[in-house]
Amino acid sequence: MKKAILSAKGLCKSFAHNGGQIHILSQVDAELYEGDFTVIMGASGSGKSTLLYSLSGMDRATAGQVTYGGRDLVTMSENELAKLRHTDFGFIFQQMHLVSNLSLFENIAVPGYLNKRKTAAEVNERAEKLLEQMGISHIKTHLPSQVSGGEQQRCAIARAVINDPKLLFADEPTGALNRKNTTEVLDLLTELNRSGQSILMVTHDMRAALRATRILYIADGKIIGELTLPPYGPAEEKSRDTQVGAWLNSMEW
Amino acid sequence: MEILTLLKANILHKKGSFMSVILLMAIVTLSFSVTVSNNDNISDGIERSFSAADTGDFAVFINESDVDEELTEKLTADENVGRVRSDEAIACLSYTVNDTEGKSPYLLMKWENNYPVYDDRLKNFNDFPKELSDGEAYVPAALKTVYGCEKGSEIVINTKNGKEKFTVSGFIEEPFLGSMSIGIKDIFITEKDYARLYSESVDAESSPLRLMLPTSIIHIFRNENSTLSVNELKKELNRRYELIDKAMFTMSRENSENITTLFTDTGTKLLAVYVILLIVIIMIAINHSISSTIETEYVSLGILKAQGFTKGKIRLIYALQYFFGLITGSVIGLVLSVPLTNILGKVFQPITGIMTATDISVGKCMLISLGIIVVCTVYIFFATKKISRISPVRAISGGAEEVHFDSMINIPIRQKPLPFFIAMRQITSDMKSYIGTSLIAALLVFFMITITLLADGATANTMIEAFGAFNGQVNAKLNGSTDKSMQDEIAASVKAIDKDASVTFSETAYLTIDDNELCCTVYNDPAILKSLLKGRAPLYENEIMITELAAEEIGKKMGDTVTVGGSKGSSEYVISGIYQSVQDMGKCFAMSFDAASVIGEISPSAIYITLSDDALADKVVTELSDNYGDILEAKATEKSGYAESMTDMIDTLMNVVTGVIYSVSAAFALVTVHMVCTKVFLRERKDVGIYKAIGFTSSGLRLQFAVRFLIVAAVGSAAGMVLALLFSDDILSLLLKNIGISFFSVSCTVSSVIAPFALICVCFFVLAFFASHKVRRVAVRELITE
Repeated sequence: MKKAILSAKGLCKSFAHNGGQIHILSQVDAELYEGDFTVIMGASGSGKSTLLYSLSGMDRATAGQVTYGGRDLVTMSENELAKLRHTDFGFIFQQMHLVSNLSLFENIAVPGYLNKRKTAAEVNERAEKLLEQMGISHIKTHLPSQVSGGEQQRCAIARAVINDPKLLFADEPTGALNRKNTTEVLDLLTELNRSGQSILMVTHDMRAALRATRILYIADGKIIGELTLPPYGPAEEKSRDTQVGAWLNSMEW
Repeated sequence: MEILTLLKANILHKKGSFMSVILLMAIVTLSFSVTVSNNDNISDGIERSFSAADTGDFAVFINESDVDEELTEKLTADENVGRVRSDEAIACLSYTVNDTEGKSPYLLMKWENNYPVYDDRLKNFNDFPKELSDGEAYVPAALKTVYGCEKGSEIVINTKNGKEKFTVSGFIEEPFLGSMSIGIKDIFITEKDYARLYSESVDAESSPLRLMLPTSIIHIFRNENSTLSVNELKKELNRRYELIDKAMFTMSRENSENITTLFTDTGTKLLAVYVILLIVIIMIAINHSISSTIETEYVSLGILKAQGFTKGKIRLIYALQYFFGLITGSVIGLVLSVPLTNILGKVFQPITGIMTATDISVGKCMLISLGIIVVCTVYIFFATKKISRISPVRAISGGAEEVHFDSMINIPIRQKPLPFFIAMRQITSDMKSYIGTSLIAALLVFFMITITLLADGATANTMIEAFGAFNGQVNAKLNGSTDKSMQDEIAASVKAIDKDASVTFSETAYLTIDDNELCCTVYNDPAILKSLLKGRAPLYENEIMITELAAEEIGKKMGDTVTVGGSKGSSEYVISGIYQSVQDMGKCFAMSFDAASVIGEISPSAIYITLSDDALADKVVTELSDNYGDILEAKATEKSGYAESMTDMIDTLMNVVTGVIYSVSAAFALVTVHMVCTKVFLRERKDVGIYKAIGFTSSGLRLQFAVRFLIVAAVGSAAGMVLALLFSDDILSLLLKNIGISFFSVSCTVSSVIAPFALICVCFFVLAFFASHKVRRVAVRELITE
């Protein structure tokens, strides 16, 4: 029996538009389990990114509950959410969003410094290890603008996991990358998941979806399907591709 | 039409920058408009008052016995003289007002309704002033400020027959001697009282007690067709009729006006320098605003170019946008200057003694505004040069290239204190943006420290000595002439009480030096003066020392020989040293009694005693009063009367100028910090989102923002502090030269330097914290790419 680390109940998200309301999420119920690599898929405008940000507390739901550690994210104060972001959650964005005037090492280390659970020396040591793990230690003093998109995204992943988050959120992390870099980033995420990292990723890339252990399909603001998969292994990529493809077809993707 | 549409859109969407420019220009316009208008009002008031009082181009104050009909006829007939008129007066030595001893001699004159009388509140003239009764007096309005004199106050005049009491019946506007800056004053009494005192109380010239001497004030009006200047006319009349040699002193309208406006002029000069600094600050702020706008709106500007807008048109839109801001600001500044000019006029009225209008010098101020606007607009046109480098292709494909920074000061980020290290990185990675802000802080602190040092120095006791006056504990007035043996006896009696005491005998007289009439202070030992700048004090009978300004006036320098003329004749003297003094606006010279005896009979009229122990002052006063009470009046004092009144005036001026400069600096810091912060925030909006996404709180980010501006302000303020320490002496000397201070040495205290530094740093920190309130509105959601 898997342990749920985050659950959403009756989640709604609406935006005011031209005097009316646009409902992006409508009564979404979902649970994220420890150790899972959960992927949210759906057509453009289906509400997948909105769901990700509502579940992560980056954005507040209009109604419903998002429970994490026994507390509702929707009612948490800004400061409590800020603390959560450097203690329990990690984020990876499609556009990397590294701080342009910090070196790669500093981009990784700053959230570690912010989280005062570790000493500066421990944070530095952990950042060095992550740089090594991500294969970017040779360019650690470079600025984001001086490295490739793939290297930036690997740095963003290292930044997201510097504080050993309970849950890693990734919004189309390969959306801005070429094929080679996409594979490298997905390999890193898969490796992290294998080491026990829970991940929730939004993607519309089939290759990225293959790395999941669980896929949620969203359409018109509602989760309409769920597919559970065994942990990813390169050997069975082809059969996995067929299985996921067929399932997505059934979802009218 | 397209220009108007974009201009309107720019103003509407960049209200912050537009408003900031309006505010900055309004503050600048307000500052110069108030000072220029106030100065003009004072000058106009003085001119009006001079005309009403029928004051000559210069007046000769001369013993009545030295004036005869022949001299008057000769003067009237001189081709360079238009006309001559004389006033009768009794020159008096000693008086008290409200039990306060008069600081300078004064003139008793007949009241002939020759000056306007103020109403009780000194706000208007009384159209029907009360007829003066016997025992009553009208006095210049400055007596109210100097002695706290009120209507009904008692003025006690010391005569050889005892004390005469007069009750102050009102205050008059007297432009010639009425200013607070001029020591000698005139007191107007009834014709009957005047005649009585003249017949009963005046002293004979030969009398050792010369408390009251009949005097003539000859007003000489230059012939309009004469080619001589007033100074040349004085020299010429002296050459022909020995007029100046015979006179006690002379004063021209120009001299009187210069002394009356001494402090307002100095204040104006200080503010003028400050306004120039403010204009530089406006240009720095505008430059920062333009650079940031070009950076943040690179795409929009590129699109405009792609649509066919030329770089010239876009630059014109920017120039017009700021031009309208500057115009609006100057109009607001002019309007706001109306009430403030009124207030400033009231501040200076007790100093000048002149009732001034509260008009705004609209034409002059508009011209200055226009000059500033033109300079700023031209500068803006140059500052927008970067627009020509915007590439439409790059703009359409995503905007300006990412900025690569290669900082020379690459301080690594450390955990504690994280906000400081991140702030440092933000500064060092975008140094160019912060140089301007730092420069603004530097300029503000530089001027604030300079003005604080001036204010501190101006009120310190050391200033009295530095400006050629005495800072002794006991002063005494001699009521008659004393010979050398008497002087030695007095000095010995003081030294018997305090062997380290210094006893200085002094007299002031107007003597000619190379035919220029200048004030000469005679001392028993000129070396006692602590304001020597170059050379040495006169040691021998043929030596004098002179102030820098007087040397300039007569075209001589140290080591040169000059001819000094007195009542007994003239002799050649060598200039042995240059010193500074506030006496007669710094145009004076000094010599020893031995040297003065060669050309005239000059006897000391004052004694300045400096003791090694303040506690001995009363003992010395008692000793002198008991043993020499018949020839002198001694009193314990902290400052000499002259220096005291000067310090009072400087205090008033300094309080006004310091207050204005501190307030304007704070207002400028407020507007510029807000303007810069808003632009920086716009540029860094994405970074704010990223920092929030990794767990920074809004308040933490705001603190970081404020720390950044604190660092920028601290660096700038430190530079301003260094600049002030290096150059404030020179700048103040330059500004104060017109009041006789050719060298102003500042003595820095920790507070005078730290207070402006701290004020600007705190202002920047607090204002940046408030200006960054928009950080709260940045949502992490903005980082999402849908």
